Amino acid sequence: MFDLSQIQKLSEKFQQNQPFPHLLLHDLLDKEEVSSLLKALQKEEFQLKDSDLFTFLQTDDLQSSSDKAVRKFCQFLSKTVAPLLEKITSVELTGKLDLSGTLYKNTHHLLPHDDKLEGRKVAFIYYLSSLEKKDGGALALYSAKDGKPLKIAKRIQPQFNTFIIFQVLPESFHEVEEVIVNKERLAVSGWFL
Amino acid sequence: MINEFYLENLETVKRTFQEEGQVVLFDFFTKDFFSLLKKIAEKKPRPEKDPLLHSFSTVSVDLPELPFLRSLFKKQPDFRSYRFGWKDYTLLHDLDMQKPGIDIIIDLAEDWQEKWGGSVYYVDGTGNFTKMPIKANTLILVKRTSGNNRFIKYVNHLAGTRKRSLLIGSL
Repeated sequence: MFDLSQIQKLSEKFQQNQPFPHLLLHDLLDKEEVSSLLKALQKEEFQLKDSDLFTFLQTDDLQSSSDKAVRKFCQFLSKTVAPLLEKITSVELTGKLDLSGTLYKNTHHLLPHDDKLEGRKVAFIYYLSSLEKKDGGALALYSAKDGKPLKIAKRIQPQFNTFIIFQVLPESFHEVEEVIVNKERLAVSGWFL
Repeated sequence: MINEFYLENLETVKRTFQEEGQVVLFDFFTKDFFSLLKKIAEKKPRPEKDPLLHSFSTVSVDLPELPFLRSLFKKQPDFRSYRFGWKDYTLLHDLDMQKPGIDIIIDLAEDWQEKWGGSVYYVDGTGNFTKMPIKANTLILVKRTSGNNRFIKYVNHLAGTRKRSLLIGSL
C-alpha cells in the first residue's frame, strides 16, 4: 500500500499534526471498491441514537453484516490498514475493530468528548460523502490544557473516500459539528483496538 | 399570583410530588405575574462555556416571595435565569452531578418548538429518559435522587436567533 519512505513521512505528519496526533489519507479505496461499499452501506439499517451528547443515525456493528462488500472492508481495515497504522502511529494494535456506519442529517451533531474507553487506541472515520464548510458537519478538534478542552483548534470537512485517524488520548477532545443543511454526512467510523 | 386551581388543590400537588417524584403544573401563574417573571428574567445574562459540561447564558435573579413553594418545601431557593440559543446545551457528566435535592423550573419560552432542541430531560441512571413538556408559564418540580439527573438538549440551527428562557432554582 505504501513503501517505507512514505510510511516514514506519514508517521512524521501524524505526530506533528495539531492539536493532537492525527492524519488524513485521501482516496483510501479505488472507485469500484468504494462504490460497492457505498451501495452496501445504503442497504444497512440505521437507527436513531439520541442522548444529551448526540443525535445521529447508526448501524449495528458492521462486522456482523451479511453483506460481502462490508465484510471485505472490515477485513481490509483489520488485515491491511491496522498493520500500517501500527507503523505510522507507533501504537500497538490487536487487529480487532469496533466499527459502525454513521449517518448525520440536518440538525444532527455529536458534542465534545474524548472517546476514552477501555481498549480504544486509534479512532477512525472513513467518509462516504462530502460536505462544504457552509453545510456544517465538520470534525472539530480541540486544543486542551490541564486535561480540559479549551477551544476548537482545527476543523476537518468530510471529504468522500478520505480516511481520518487520530490517537485516543486523554486530551483528544473532538466533536462533530451540527449539519445545518439538508445533506447527509455518511461515514464508517470506529476504533482500532 | 398563581392559578387559583393550584391553591385549591395544594394537597393533591404535594401528594403527587411525594408519590411520583415530579409534577408539571401548566398555566401556573396569573397572566400579570407571569409577565413580571419574564421581565425579571430579562436581566442581562453572562455566557458560560465549558465544552464537556455546558454552554449557555445565565444570571442570578431575585424573584418575589412565592408562598406556594414555601408551603411545599418550607423555603424558596435562589433562582437563576438561563437562556439557551443556537449551539447551547448541558451534558450529563460525572464531574457535574448535582447532589440529591429538588429542581424547580419555570418555563418562560413562548412559542418555542420542540424540534429546535432545548428540551429539559431527566435520566434515572438506568437509561430511562423523561422529557419535560415545553410550554410557557409551566412550573416543573422534580426530585433529584442520586441516579436522577438533568440535561438540556442541544439547541439546533432551526431555532435561528431565538432563545429558550428558563428560571431554575435548586433545593
